[in-house]
Amino acid sequence: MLSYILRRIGIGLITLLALVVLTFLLVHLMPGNPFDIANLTPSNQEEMMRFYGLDRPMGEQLAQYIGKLLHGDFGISFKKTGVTVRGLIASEAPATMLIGGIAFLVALVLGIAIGIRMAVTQREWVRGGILTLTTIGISVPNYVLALLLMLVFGVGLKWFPTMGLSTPAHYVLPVFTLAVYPIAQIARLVKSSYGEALNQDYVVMAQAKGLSRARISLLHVLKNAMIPVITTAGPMAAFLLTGSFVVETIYTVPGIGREFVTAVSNRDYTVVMGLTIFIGALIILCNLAADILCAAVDPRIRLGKR
Amino acid sequence: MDKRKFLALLLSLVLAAAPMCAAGAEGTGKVLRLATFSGAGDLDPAGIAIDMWTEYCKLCVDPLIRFDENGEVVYEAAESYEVSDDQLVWTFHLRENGKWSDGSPVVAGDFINTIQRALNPDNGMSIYASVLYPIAGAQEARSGEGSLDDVAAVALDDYTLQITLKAPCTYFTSLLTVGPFYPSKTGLATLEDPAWWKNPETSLGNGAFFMTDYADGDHYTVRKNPYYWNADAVRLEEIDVQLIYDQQALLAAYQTGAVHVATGLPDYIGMSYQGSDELFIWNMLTSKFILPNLNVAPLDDLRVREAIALGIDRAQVCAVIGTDYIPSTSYVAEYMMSNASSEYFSKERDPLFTEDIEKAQALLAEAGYPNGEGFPTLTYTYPNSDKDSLLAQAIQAQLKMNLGIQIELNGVEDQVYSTTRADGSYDLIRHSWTADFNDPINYLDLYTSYSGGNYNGVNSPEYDALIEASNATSDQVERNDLLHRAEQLLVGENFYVIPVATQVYICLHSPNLTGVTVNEKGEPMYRYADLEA
Repeated sequence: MLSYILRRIGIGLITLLALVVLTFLLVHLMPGNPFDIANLTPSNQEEMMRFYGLDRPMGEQLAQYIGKLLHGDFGISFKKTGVTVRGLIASEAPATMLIGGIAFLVALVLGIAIGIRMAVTQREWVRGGILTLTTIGISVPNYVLALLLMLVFGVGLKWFPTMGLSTPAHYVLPVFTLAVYPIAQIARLVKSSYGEALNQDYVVMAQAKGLSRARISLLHVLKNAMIPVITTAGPMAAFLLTGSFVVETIYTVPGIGREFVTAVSNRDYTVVMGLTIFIGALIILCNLAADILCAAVDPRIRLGKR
Repeated sequence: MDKRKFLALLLSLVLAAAPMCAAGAEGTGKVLRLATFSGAGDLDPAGIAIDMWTEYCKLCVDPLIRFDENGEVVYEAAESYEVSDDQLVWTFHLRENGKWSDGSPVVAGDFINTIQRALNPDNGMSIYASVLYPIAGAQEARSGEGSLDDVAAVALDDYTLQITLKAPCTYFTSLLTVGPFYPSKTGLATLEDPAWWKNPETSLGNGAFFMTDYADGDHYTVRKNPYYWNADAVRLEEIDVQLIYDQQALLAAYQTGAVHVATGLPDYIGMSYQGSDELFIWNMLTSKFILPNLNVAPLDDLRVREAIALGIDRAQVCAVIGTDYIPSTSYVAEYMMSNASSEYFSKERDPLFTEDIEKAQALLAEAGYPNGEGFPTLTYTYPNSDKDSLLAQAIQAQLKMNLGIQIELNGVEDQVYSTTRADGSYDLIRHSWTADFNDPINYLDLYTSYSGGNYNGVNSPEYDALIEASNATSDQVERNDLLHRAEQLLVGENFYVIPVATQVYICLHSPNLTGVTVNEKGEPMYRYADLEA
């Protein structure tokens, strides 16, 4: 097991390094320069470029950047005096991760519950109804959903506030918007894997032994039905924790999803790179966690020959 | 089922929490909540003093003087000023009752603090340093050739600031409204602490309000400055400035009552709130125009440029784009105040040209392209935002319909757009210019043959001479005439630039909000506003 984990971490680190180099090159290959703002004349722009060393050869800049990264220094923002990229991530990531984390938990609990319900129900209309809902949940893009929820529950019914995260009620709409897609996805996954597991011999055996229905479904069926869920949960957690530009912009949540897009359009090079690396590291971590969990649940995975 | 009960309980708890938060924001005093669409830049007058600063300075930082909506001087931190006969030495007498929000006096050194920080070669964020260059020794200090000690902005005593220019600058008072001329508290606003502006401890205000809370990209809060010299006129207790980047979210925030003021709304709001007291139109100092590349045939032919200018029905173009675009044939922003009268510069003269489709067709025929026959397909490059795409299509349709000219549209990313504009690899390109300060020179000096902002190859010694003459005279009326002649030469005679529209911001103001004033740039000012119950 240990060697499996170490191998996965090694692959993660190499991926991260490749990500750093690639992001650096892509960002610096973007046309234009970060200082083409607010009526700045070309000579002023050149002055600023020189000040930040952006006129030096690309290789030299890259080496310098990686050297700083190794010391935990992500650089400073080109667009806000005195703002470090590390400080920016530290101040914006909590909001993103909080709504993402809640959405993740909500999606897991509701998704699994709805999935089991779909699998065990005998009534065709319940199954069909839920199936339709999950199909809608998967296919409606989140900007439509976000706007719809905001207009109906925020502007129309005035049940929930639509701006910021100052009270628990502020979390309802953004969390729900984020969670709809994963709920639907998990529900469908659980439905099929749970339904499959229900028909296995060991279930019949357990029933024959006279075990309670709850014990059978929670202990025997669910454990086996969870593997596909865990595999999806990794990327899904990464997707939720790294923030959604749409949700953060529409509900005015000061998070990294929104910051990321602003930084790209402002050509704030250091912020773009810092956030890409941060988000990349998160995705790698989430996938790693999912891999390890899977291996823990299913011994066949960790014993698999490479 | 228990599960169902639990869910019902959870949902009702959440629902119960909703009204609580709505009530929580209102304190005892009057709190104005306003939302703006851009959090770009920072709050350091010697830093990236763009969008966010523009709103903040009107609330918290008083310059020496500013101008009202008629272009009249309003004395803020300065009580009076005088200028020497040779127009070189400007002496400002500060208010002795001018105070920072910690109770300390506002002294001449606080103005010099910003000037010195903006010119310091180690300040990499000082984007507006160039507005200080008329000051003797300023440009040399910034480039490192001279010393900061030689910059001719000095304190004669605590309440007297003397600025010596290297040459007369007739629009010097207009420059005083740009960041580097604002004060910042000596000892607290320093280069050593580049984040001083977001820390309420060091970010003092000498204006009607001062900052109490700042959250990056989210909001900041300002409270009434008890030491403000004109504090009696300030009615609001607190102002909460929210940054909402999404227009729909901005509108929702207004419609749910989460904010009293929403700035920069979608254009259809201009229609749906038409005639309502809540609608507030902010006339921007912006000009949208087409730049013909003078090095590309047949755009080097004056008749062709004039045909394009005359052959576009601007009212129809703007009808396509939305209520926030106003037709304009003026290159200097339509709503810019004149220095010589209390009218708009653009209203002091006859229109630079009049749309005339028949004449345009005749001109095109004269140039050898009757009904557009044989006219090469030109490209029109523009940044591919929603508005600019609509503008491009409308212009394309107009030229096709009226002149039979085929234009190929080339919508590109912002970055590509600015590179293309700078290196001249276009036929026609959309350009837009928003003034930094209220003076026509802000527009006109872009097209001197030696200007860095002259992107399409205008090279007219006559034009250069007019601009130079306008800079040399201290007589505002004479200067104003010279600027009018320059604009006439640039647009009405040579069509080096082809104006199309100007822009406004659509804003909504709560019906309870009163006392909003407007400055010379058309921007709403909330410092003396009031909220009625």
